Amino acid sequence: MNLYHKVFGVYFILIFWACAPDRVQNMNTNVTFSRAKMLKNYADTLIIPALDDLQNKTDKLYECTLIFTNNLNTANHISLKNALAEALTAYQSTSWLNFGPGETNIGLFSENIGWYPVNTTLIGDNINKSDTAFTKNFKRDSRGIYALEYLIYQYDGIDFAVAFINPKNLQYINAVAYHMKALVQKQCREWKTYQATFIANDGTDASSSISYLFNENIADYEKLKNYKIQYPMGKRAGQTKAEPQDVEAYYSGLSVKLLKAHYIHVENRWYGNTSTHTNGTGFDDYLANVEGGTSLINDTKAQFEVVKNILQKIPDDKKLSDLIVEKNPDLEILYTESAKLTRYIKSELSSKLGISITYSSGDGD
Amino acid sequence: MNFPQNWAFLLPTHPAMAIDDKWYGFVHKQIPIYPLITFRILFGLVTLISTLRFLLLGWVEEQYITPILHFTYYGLDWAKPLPGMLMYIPFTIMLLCSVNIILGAFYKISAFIFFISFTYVELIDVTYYLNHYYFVSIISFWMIFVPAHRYLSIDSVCNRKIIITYTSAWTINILKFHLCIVYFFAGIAKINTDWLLNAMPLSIWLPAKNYMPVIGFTFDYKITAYLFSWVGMLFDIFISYLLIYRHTTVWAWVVLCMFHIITGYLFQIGVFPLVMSACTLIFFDNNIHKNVINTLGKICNYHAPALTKYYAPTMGHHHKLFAYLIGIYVIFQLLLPMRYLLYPGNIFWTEEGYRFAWRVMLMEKAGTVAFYVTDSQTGKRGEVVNSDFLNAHQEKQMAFQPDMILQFAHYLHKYYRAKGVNDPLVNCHAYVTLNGRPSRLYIDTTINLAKKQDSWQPKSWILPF
Repeated sequence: MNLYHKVFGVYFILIFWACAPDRVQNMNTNVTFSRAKMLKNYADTLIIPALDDLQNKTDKLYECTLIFTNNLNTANHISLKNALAEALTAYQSTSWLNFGPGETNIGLFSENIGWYPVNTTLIGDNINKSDTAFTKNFKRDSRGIYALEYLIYQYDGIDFAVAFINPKNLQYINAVAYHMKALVQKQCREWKTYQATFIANDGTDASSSISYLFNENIADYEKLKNYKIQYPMGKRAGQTKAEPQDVEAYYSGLSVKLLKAHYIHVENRWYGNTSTHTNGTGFDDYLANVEGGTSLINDTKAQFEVVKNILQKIPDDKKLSDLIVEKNPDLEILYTESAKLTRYIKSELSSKLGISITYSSGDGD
Repeated sequence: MNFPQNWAFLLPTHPAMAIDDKWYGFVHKQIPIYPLITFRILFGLVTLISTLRFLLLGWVEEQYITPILHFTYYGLDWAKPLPGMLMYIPFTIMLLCSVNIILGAFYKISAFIFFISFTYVELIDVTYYLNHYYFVSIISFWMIFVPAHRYLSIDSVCNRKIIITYTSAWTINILKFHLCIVYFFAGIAKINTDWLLNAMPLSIWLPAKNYMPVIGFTFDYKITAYLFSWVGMLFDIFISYLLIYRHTTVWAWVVLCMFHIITGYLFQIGVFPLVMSACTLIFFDNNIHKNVINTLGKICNYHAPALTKYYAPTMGHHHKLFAYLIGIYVIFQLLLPMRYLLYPGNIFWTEEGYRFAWRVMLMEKAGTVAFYVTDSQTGKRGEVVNSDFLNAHQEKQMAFQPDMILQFAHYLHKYYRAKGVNDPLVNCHAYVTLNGRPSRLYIDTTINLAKKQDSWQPKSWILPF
């Protein structure tokens, strides 16, 4: 029994020491943050409305596509372009939804909807072969919203009668628009079924909803940084020159607008907000309830502002591909500052919140 | 074989004996073999479950087949994965060997092949280093040499001459020793400011698990993190003593199981709780093991000879030398986890001497690292997209472990040189956060990592904590 007495004696001395007055003040911190509430906000305010909006836009886009392909005239072409611009903008708020219903047997949601740059040779081959079996292959650079953008804009300024002399061209446009509309409808429908499961899965381990939110948000941001800025600017290791033709939405020239819209969505996701709902529960609120979270909130907000300020300097009315060719100095700053943001919203955030940074439940000790 | 008369002096250890004789006696003292037999069966079961789990979770493909590159251990870069689906072969072999170990069939060769296969797999990629994998490797090494097949085994059914009921003490004590050092050094490692005075990283980990039933709500209180930190440290340091002390063994094991159930539920530590809970049964009294083994023997219709039979080591007159070697091994195992003291700086930051030291679930560390490759002739500089080369697990681990950062830099140097970049310079901007602190620059950004070589020497290019 002496051993017991010694062990417990030491134990209690150490516990009392740990509870010394200078530490007691921090020891009754009650973390009252509700992850379920946060998930509900994301599902109800950010995800479902964004998908509904995209569904409306892609439905309208499909309608405009049918109208245009049935009646090739300038007015219908302009309507189609406008519908495409709206759908492209709406897509920016959903490009991160690659989990849950976003994982399909033909790949991720964003891979099927938003792959760029498109393979124009493959699209040409598909048109010639009348190959529109989009659900049976992984050639995602021949379909989706950017393929449609290429198809709509490729003959810009050319007489429609000449441009679309091959009826297979029009059939392909309709097929791409239809496939996209069907995929979005499916995603929208399945998310409404998945919504309750998503909210209930409020843990923090691998495959929890928080882990999905975190991981997909950062994956989406890295796509923005790496593929919308870094690669077209020729900033990737091994690149010998810029690739301005590989910017997002190269043919329509909407790249700058889409880049800004995408960035705003990344920022909103961190706050748990939308453009109309600015008081949502997001990662900032979660951080405010954990130790040391305040400093990370401040650092992240400051860096968001830095990036946003630079983005505002980039003119909307110019093509991103042209700005790259011109070596616009603000783009250089944007690239540098957007890279700085990564550590705040990736490693520091996950570490502070104890979120699993991978989906795989690999062991650790 | 009966106990030789001239070994009788080994049974008691007389105070007048020289220290080396005492050690010799301690090593070769004859004790009942039953705990070793139970250990063999349980160890085989645990490795069988662990290997099956690994296969069923698809980790062979994810960790060894799909990755483009693997991070090797310093000096062990010969350990490469087998091509493609052939990587399933060592796992299949491990399954078969585990079954053989349980049954005690072709035991020696099975234990040897298991050790080789398991250790080979673990050496392929440092990304997946786990303390309990290291533990299984060590134990499987010793399982080759202990006579765990000489009772209640298929081998002993086929050749009854090998049956023994007593064995040299070292065959059991070496296993107990390894179990003790896992806990002891895990406890010693917890004696640091972050763990004890700031309750870090448990102040991060516990609130994140507040959805746990029954006690989850307590995780929101900082005092719970302090309680877990201190109790965890004391548990680790003292559990070995309580397991060894025969009056507390059973209760200590019950507490140990509760501890592992809780930690297993809270943290993603896989089969570690199962391994430790099963293996620590070896501390139980010989009679308990004897009863279990005899009951199991009756079920299996196993007939053991009535005579007491002793273990006859095959080393002849080298017994004493063997006892010295065991002694040297024990000292080595006690010193290895302390090697970090030879390195300057904070071990949690530099990680020099961190592995193979039983530092279990000690810190919350994460990083973001951007590599830049510069053509040394043209000056053209570009950033690497790490995920083009690494899976998420590799990327996460690499971001805060200097030797992995260096290896990746060397890989990038070779890769981009092959792509036509002239003598690529490789720098990195790594920001690392440790135990909730704001992230800080980790590696000297001016250093061309491609020109730095790994070694046992301190890495001067790691920035101070």
